[in-house]
Amino acid sequence: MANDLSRRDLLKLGSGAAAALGIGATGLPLVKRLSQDAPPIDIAKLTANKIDYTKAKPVPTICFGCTTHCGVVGWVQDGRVRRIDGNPLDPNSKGNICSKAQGMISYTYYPERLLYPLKRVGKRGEGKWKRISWDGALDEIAAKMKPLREEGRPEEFVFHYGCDKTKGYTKKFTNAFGTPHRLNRRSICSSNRRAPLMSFYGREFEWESQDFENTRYIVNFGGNPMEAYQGGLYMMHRIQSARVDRSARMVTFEVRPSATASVSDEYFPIMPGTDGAVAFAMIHTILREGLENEAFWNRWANYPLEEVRKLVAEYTPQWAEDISGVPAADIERIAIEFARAAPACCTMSNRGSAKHYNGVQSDRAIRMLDVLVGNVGKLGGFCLSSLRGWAGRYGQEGLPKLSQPGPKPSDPKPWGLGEGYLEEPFKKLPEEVQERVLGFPEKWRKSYFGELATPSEYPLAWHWYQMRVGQLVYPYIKEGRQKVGVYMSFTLGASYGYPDAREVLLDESLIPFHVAIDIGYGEQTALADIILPEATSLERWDHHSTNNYGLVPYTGVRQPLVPPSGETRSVQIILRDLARKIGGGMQDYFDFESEEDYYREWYKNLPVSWEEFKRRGIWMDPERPKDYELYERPLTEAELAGTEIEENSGLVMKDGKAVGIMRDGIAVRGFNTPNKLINIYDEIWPTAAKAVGLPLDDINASPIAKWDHVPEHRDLGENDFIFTTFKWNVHTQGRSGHWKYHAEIVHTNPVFMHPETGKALGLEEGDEVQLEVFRPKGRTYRGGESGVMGSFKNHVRFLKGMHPKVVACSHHVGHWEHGAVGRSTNALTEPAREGHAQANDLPLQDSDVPNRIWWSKERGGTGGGVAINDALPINPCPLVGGQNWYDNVCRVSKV
Amino acid sequence: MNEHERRESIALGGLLQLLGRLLCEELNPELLAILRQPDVREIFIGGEDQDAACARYLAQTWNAEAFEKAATDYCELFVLPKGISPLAAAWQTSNPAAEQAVTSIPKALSSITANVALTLPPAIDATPPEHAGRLLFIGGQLACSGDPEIAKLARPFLQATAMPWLERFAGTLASTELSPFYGRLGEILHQTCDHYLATS
Ligand code: SF4
Repeated sequence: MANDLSRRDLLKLGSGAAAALGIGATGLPLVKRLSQDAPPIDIAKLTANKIDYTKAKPVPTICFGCTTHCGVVGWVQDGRVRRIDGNPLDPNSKGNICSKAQGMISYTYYPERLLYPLKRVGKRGEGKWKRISWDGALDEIAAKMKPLREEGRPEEFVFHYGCDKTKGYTKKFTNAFGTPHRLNRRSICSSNRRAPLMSFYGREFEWESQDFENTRYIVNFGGNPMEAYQGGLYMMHRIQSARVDRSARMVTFEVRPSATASVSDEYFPIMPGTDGAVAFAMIHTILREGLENEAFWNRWANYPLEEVRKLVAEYTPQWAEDISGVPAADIERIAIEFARAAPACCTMSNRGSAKHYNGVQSDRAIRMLDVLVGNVGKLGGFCLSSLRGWAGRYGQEGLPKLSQPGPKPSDPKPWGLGEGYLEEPFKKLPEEVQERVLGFPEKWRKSYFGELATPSEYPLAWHWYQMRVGQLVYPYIKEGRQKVGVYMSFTLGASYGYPDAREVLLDESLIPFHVAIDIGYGEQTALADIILPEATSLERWDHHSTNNYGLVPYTGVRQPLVPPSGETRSVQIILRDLARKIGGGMQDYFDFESEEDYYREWYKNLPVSWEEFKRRGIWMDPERPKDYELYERPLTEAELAGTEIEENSGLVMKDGKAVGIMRDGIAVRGFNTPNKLINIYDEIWPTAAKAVGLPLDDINASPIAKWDHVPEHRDLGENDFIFTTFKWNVHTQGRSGHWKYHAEIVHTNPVFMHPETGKALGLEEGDEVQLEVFRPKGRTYRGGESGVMGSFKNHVRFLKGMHPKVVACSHHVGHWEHGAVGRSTNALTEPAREGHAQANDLPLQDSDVPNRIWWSKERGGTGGGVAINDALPINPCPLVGGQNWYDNVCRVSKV
Repeated sequence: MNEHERRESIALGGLLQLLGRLLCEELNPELLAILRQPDVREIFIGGEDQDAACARYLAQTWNAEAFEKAATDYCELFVLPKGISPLAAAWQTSNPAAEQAVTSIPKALSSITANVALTLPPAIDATPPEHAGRLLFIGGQLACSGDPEIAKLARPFLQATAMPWLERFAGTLASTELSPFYGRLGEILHQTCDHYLATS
């Protein structure tokens, strides 16, 4: 120590300070015992640190470790959450949790968490900040937002969220403000899979709920519920108990030995982007063997079975083997086993099949398999259960009505020309966009809100509902398709995940003002002007409802276990207070003081008391029948009142809308599509193609599922590989970077490849390689441009079970912001961050932290992985806009 | 507690409260006024063996720009991830005693607050329980209590909850080159740990 002080010096300092602080010679009278009868405090006895279950209080809530949202119980002792367990009353998770649930504790208590509102001091992105008061922060934001609203430009406020589970609360804010720009990231996740489901079964069923509990056979095309799948935990314990307790079989087609592949009864490494070929060959086999359920098909499918026979005539198992590498004999056998198990069999699929140029059509072929064997809605089959909140929709009849309290602002007006449309912002759009939109069918024009929310080149991203094309937001802002006045990001990691985001966020002419609401300081918040610190899921309220694998709708409540730490606030309070500052009537929609009162009101129609509901955390009607064969339920007398039957179609019509369909002389409700049937054939695809000028011979334009290669994969050279990304089961995309104990498990992302692939490339395990990723070739954003999108260096690991043409890397490590745990010291991806080596050395160099981060370079470790997302091109699927993550072609060379 | 002990306890309380506030608040006119108090100033600028940089820093003209710079330094050091977090976390230490201390904070704090009426200024109140500044300030309030039984709790309270991770934190802060003032604050905190809080 440079300047040693004596005890006497310190006393002098203390006396001076005491005097200056106004502490008199007798001390502070206020600091006294609350009760003179209280026994003396014995500090030595107060320091036990073990959880004591006789004293800890269990509080049920809903986990937010990932988007699955399991019911959990948090144990609170001495005002601190000590442990998370599963809530056995949750019918989806049934008391199971995954390791990420404990991450909620890490998130709440990690020492680098954002705790105060911050205002940028230096240049944007420079990393200089100062604390400001909430009042100061909200005043400043309101001052920027108010003119946009008052001057009739509310659309220049852009709200962009990563994970919003407020069930309509943030929408209330954006609607009250008047902007349609409530952007999400669904397109990078699941839109290619949701679109085929909605085309088949209707808007309500964007998500399936297979009856895994009772199934006997599962064919899995690239779904990975054991690691990363919204609802994966609900699925995984059901699948495992079906396998173990009832000898169900699971077959998985995957490109790498994922955790799900590893627990499957059979795993086939498949050539990426060829799942559709296997599905078609299975259809071919089932029809050839006469194992189809013709009665079901004829009753519910909208396409003649004979036409399907013609369609798949050439799609033989041998043909599929040549394309996919899966042996023809296995395809045949699996198809036969699957069909023989019907109806207690089901398909599942996810990004593995869907996130390709041909992914939408592959999923349509996969979905056809279920219809063909007639397992839809059956015990052990491919079931559909009510989703979309809790609003009395299809499948939710008879449930108590739950709705967000208070007045509801109207939705923004669509953009266009003529009565009922907002003309001003529409006229600011590029002429070619205006022309395209004016040529759309009326239904679409009524759902068009500009290029950020409803990109006109991707009408099926918003035909059923607003899935959007989040990965195009930044390029579109850069191209000037939408002027931005205030940009608000909410728990969004775009700057880490999207290649163009950083450049746009740094450009103050494009984003004049950026407010970030988040829990941690990361790549996105680092580029804000004001940061508002948010409460974690253990500190706040939310309404919860989701699709249910138990096939009975249920609802739950997220409730605070502890008060928000530091000066953090829930997003509900942040937006409420901001609305009050903006004024102009916005405040009327947020007329509440206590959050608990607000949520009590939301649930007021539940047939249990509020206290009982909070104590259980979950409510469902135990008497309610399961959602099997919803489509066969006869219409009730009340539903039939005032209906007419259309002669040719048998549709039961009420007020110009089909409410059911006649089957065997009975009016049943059918599926929730306009024709009440399963739409195997859907004109929406060519209609959308024509509207945007996509040639009708493109696979995405076909009204019936069809096979074609992924354009990039058509002529792969010997040294070209398909680059696949994935997520580990202990991590999320961005948040888990902060979690010490999860980072201990996974903190690096080697390039996995088959040992034979490595050998052919002259590599040994551990070698450093350079990966160059090429731009896509299909009809997509900047598709067809030649050249390298980006490159990065990383080390190699060999893994048997990889498809030999695939190299794979996980994509959630290598952060350059975040806390010490999540930050990497490896070089960043080029060229996006060329020359900017990650010089983020660990803090507390003299302290113990580097020792605890034992994977740091100082300790001879890997340095924390490599951020690879900048090397992945923006690649939206035509029409639907889902990011085709797995089409990327790369070259690998030894460094 | 005799008069001498009493005075010493209040001095310790003043010291701990000042250190607590300096860790929880940016430099502001009120804190500067305390730092200008002659005895306080003398120790902060190092007496005869003067810490010239810290002396110059405190003697500068405190205009809006200077306060803004101080606020930015504060943020860089104590709020942002790449700084020196004043928040304790058990995983940050490999010292079992420090780990025990960190995990003792909730129980010790809840027992103290259930028995004793503390008055925390807003800046302290806005910090989480495991904030070094908050713990120091609470220790300082206990030491200043008119009730000798409570005043005696200050040291064991901080020993149970903050030592030795606080000492390590102080040592790291003392080595910062970002601001001479905060470097000096780290040194004083370190010496306070040595003289008052060390159990041996
Ligand atoms: S799957 Fe795990 S992290 Fe996700 S909600 Fe459930 S318990 Fe939480």
